[in-house]
Amino acid sequence: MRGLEGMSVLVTGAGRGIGMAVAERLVEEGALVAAADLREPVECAGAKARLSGDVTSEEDVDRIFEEAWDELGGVDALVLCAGIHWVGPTHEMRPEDFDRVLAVSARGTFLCCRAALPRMVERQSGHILTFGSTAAVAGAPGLTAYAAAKGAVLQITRSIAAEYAHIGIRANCLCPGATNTPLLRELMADRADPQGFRDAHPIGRFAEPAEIAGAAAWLLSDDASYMVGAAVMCDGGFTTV
Amino acid sequence: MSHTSLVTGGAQGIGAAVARRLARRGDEVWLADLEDKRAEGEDLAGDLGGGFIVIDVSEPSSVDQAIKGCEGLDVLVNCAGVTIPGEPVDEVPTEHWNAQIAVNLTGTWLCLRAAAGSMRARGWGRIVNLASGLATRGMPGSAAYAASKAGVTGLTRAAAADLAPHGITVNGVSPGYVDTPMTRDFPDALRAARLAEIGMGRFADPDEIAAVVEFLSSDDAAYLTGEIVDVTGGYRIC
Repeated sequence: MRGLEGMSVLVTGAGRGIGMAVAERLVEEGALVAAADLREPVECAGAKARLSGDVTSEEDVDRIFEEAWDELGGVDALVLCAGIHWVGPTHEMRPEDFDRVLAVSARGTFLCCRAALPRMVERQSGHILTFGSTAAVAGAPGLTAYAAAKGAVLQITRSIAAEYAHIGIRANCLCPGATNTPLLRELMADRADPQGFRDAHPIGRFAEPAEIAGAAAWLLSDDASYMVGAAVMCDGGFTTV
Repeated sequence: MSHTSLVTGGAQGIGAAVARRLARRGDEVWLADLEDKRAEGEDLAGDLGGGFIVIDVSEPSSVDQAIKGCEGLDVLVNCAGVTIPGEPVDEVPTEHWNAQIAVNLTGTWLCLRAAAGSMRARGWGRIVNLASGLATRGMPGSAAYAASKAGVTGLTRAAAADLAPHGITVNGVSPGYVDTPMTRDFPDALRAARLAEIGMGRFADPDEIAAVVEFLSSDDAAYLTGEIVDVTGGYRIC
């Protein structure tokens, strides 16, 4: 894909699942990747830097960004994959559970963008790729906090896109459907009818992380140069039917 | 892996840009367009090492014959379209309404129907339809075109649901304003007004729309189906 060779990219949530697959795909495409995650050690093949920290913490985010900048010699792009969920009936969810899910996705996305935007504005260029979900646009039973958080991420992305597109910063939101990750496997273990959920996808299966990574790499590339503020569903047709 | 691809409306504009993209990645490309576009179509096909086929997408027999000529078709890109702007909804002549529905909507369906059979048999296919932002937003004087493109959006989603189990993805690309002879001729005030509504502050190059079609017709887009991808440079996102 055009434009990825030599691009400096900070990927959050890169320690596992979709974030790891995205980071590894970007490495394959020739990008310089700083892989960040809450968990240590951050295992991500080919990453030029491995950074740890909590995206809900202003201090951690600012430090991660500066470390990535120093290690990569700049940050051309942010890919914000860090996210958690809380699953269960909404009436049993504690306010602190709700707050934590919102903090990682919504506050974390905001803090990372806030850390990166001054340099992007200075350079008059940059890419921000956030991770929404089908839950950003459709109801998600048992995942109220997650859906709220992902809806917030989508609107943060659109607002940043509208605010900064004129100075050469592209922000887009990739919304994966159910993807074969540790997080999904935990969710499916709790589900009464896992086959029914799978069948709700016209394509008849869940995504592999590598398939989401392919779409993410494309959105960062020059082949998506006129895409701004888009919400791209990569869901096997789940939100189509 | 090299594919056999067919681009309707391929002799000019976005269709031609798509054909160039697909040829550059190594596809065997068939350009299909009306008889009166033969000269441009054959010239471009020659440059791309591909072929030109005459098609009238509004005629079932023409569509079936053209697609039969593209053996082993893997990728179908429906770019053929017609617009007759500037007609308020209560003044649209019936023949203008029918012409836009016939080419933009029925034509897309006829091509999709003709191509899907062999894709099903091989368990792999990519279909990309040109949609429009007018499917969801009202613009004066565009009723028939808007209705046809809203139809294309619905068709795309339903076709995606039908064909997903067979390894065929169906997606739409919804371009914003594109740098074409028509938009270059906009009066200054109109041009400035449109540009002010676009986050990136410029119209798209046709190749930037083609790049999205190329991605949607690639292996990397295997899990993306039923999606209408807005390629607008941030048009009216706020």
